[in-house]
Amino acid sequence: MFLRSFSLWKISTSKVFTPSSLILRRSISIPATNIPDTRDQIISNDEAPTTNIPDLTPLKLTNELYATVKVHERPYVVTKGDRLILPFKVKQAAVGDILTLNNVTAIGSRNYKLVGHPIDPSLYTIRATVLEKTKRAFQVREVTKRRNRRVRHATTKGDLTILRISELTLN
Amino acid sequence: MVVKAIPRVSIARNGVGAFIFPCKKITLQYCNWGGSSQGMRDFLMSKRLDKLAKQYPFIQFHVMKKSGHPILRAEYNNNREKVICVRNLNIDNVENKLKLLKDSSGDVLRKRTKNDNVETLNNSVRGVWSPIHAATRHRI
Repeated sequence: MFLRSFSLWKISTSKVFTPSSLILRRSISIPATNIPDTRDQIISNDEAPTTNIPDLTPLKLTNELYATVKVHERPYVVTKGDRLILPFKVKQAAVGDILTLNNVTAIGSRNYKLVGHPIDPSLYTIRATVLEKTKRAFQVREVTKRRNRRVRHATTKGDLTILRISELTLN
Repeated sequence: MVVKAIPRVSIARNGVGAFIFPCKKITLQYCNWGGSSQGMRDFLMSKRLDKLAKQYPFIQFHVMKKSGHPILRAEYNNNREKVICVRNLNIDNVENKLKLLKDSSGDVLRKRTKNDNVETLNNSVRGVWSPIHAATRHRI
């Protein structure tokens, strides 16, 4: 049985090109550990274990990507073209500046996800343009104490910085 | 039967590709006589406006003499304008108000709910979770 299947496999490789993963799944003699599991294979690194760079081919082939970007330890899930509203004023950046976001914990497509804490910034390019530096609407909050007629009016008008994700690609 | 493509108009998203500065014109209105225009007059006499105008050559700065309280009026690309009365403000406060108008996009200031921080026009990348297609232990 074994020999027969092996010979069949040999013939098929000599005549037509088939991807190695298909061949491995078909043949019975190969130990179970060597059978590639699609999901793990792609994210974990099999080709270069020393450099720890995963094979990102399935992520690169997709037309849609999302990323979890952290700004001041707050996570934002963004895609390309999104408006990102930061609840503070970015003093260092002026309107029209292009920022490079380099604290990214996840980049993914529909079926695959690359996770890191954070991901190595050389693997991706995420850029954002500062659209405006504006404020929230003016709000007045009534602050009261029990058994006291006095009402204090606390006013707030918080700062906002609005960014546009102009680029989200894998290198 | 001829298959026709669905007509779609491209949506303008400033900053994807080109970025166009939202503020296009700022009018500085002052009065030559009134005391409430003192700060505004100081600002116009100083070199601060020249510096700003050099820094932002794409904004039109228009200085206008008109009786009454001094006013800053900014016009934006979205056909809105914002007006700030700068009566009795000193030179630094006038400059800060001018910068505030310059950095704005002309939109109305709105209340924002908590954690509503990303606005998108794209469809969800990961799709909607389905109880039928989920892993066995999460399946309903």
